[in-house]
Amino acid sequence: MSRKTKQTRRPKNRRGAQEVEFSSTVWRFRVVKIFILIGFLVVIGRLAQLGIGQATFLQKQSDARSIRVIKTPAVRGMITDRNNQPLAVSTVVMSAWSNPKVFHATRNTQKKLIKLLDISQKTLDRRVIHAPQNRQFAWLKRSLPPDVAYDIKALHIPGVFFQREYHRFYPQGPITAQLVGITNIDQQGQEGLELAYNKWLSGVPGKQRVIKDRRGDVIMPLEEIEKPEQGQPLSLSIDYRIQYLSFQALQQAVKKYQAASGSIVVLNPKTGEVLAMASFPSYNPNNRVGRHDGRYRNRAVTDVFEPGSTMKVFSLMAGLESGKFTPETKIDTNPGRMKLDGHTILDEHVNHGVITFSEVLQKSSNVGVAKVILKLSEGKLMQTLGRFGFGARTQSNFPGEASGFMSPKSHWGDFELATLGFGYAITTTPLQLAHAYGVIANHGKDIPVTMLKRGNEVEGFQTVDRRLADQMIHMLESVVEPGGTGWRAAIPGYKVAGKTATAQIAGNGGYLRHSYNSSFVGFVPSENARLVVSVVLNKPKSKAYFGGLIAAPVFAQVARGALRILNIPPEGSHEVK
Amino acid sequence: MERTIAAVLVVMVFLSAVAVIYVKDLNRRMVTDNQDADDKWQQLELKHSQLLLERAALTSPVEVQNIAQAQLGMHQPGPTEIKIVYVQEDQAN
Repeated sequence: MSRKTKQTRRPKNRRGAQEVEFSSTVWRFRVVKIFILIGFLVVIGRLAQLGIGQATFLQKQSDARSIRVIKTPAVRGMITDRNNQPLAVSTVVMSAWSNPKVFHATRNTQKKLIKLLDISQKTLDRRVIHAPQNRQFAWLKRSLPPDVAYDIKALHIPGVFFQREYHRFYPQGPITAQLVGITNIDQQGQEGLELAYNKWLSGVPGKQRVIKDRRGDVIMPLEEIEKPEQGQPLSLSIDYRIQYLSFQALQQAVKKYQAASGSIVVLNPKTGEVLAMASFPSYNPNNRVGRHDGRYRNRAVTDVFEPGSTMKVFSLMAGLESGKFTPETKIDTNPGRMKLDGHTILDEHVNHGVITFSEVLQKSSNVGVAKVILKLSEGKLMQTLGRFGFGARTQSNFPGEASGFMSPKSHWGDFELATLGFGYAITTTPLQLAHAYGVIANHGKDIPVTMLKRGNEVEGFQTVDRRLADQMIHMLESVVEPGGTGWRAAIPGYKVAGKTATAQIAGNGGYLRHSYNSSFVGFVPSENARLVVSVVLNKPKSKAYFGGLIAAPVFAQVARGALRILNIPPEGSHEVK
Repeated sequence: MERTIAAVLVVMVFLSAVAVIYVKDLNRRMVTDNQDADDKWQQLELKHSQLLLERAALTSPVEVQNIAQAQLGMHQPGPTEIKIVYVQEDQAN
């Protein structure tokens, strides 16, 4: 029994051991299973937490690292002359930049790179290779021609990127430099009409959402948020052929008479459009080097000067308006000099004797003008000058335009008034002068000046009585006829009206000796004027310095060419020769 | 009845999922096309501005005068050399 028991027990024992073994395996297996399950649950839980709970946050973080809104540049509008000849054009350039943290290039590749970029190894070292640790952006070179950028791209240098930009080119160079003006490297107008009409020209850049990779390259565009609003083209009133002609004539004259500077304005008196406006010395807007000096100024608009005798026209106009004078009124200028308030007024050492009102203008007699002025009622002269636009800016809209100076005081001494009458103690710009002569040329009708092409004719404003303006036109014709001071301005086949001036320049402590502004302002054909030209030469050093001697021929040269360009036939004979 | 509705809804969910994928893909393709067209526009624009500049340079008065004087031996006509010829309108047309 005991054996049996033993026998039965043993297997029983073995089975028990087996059961124990089995149950411990099961237990372990279960534990492992549970752990795995817990593991899975943790992973799933975490996934759910990330995917549902923090999804928005994480998505934002991811986007912040890869999605970028980039600007798509708007093309700056073209500036053209009235015949669509381009004066300022934007073209695509590539600007190369680098991320110094990523930049990597062998010595050899670096050499190729600096050769293509046209920079020195030193510059590359300073900007990129030895750049401060945290720097992630450095311009390598801006405004590269697209083909150079293409060659650089072919080098496959990590950390070198390109940005598409625009660069402004001025095909007419120095001829239109001060007029058109310049932009900075970011395509924003800095001077001239580029500045005046910057908003119109520049447009609004668009926005685009893109995905970028770690290195900053655009992998995929996602959407266009805003389309760029392209800049508008600007059509100027300028005729580039007349502009060229004017610039060339001015350049020749400034050099020939060793003048410090010069400016010229050509105006269409019927429409108020400026056909040409040139200043010399000039600069090349495509390659600006050197100092930012007077060459950058559009002297015809920004520089004021005491005009001298060209103002006599308006003084005598005041005389005609007063009703006290007609062109035939006799005026005694004997003995060619006159004392006023202790000062002497001279007629350039010539005694003209008794001359007509008209001859006062033709001979440019200071004494004659003084006598006329002193017979006018107080304030009459100022009132007339004001109506012709002196002392106020024109409507050219040109940045930095000067208004000129006219003293606002109500009471003037006789001498002061007389000097004002022949163009001292008042300052004006060449454009103001051209505009004022334009009023007379247009039979007394004032048309505001503009530098933009006008589609239709502008309603003018009758500033001066038509009959008086016509009388003045005839008087101005006599200046250019033989015996007048401006005969060198005559153009065969056309009747010219105009006035010369040689005005002393004021310096410290009085008027300077041998320092003059020599000018001529005139219009042609005189009775149906299509052109007003105002020429000013500043400080000619040559022996010849009289306006009639040096500025009048420039007028003739420019006006003759412009008449031919505009196909304006000579007056009178209509026969075929 | 409820089963049918459920089945229809499941099918619709599935279809809308496919449609989402399809539209997304279509959008991507169109963005790419747009990008290509943009690139082309940019290239044409570059060419256009370059041609404009080239034309402006070639037709600039300085250039014309140089060619006229240096190569063709021309000169600016003086006042005496200019003759005005009037053409009657019927002849001109």
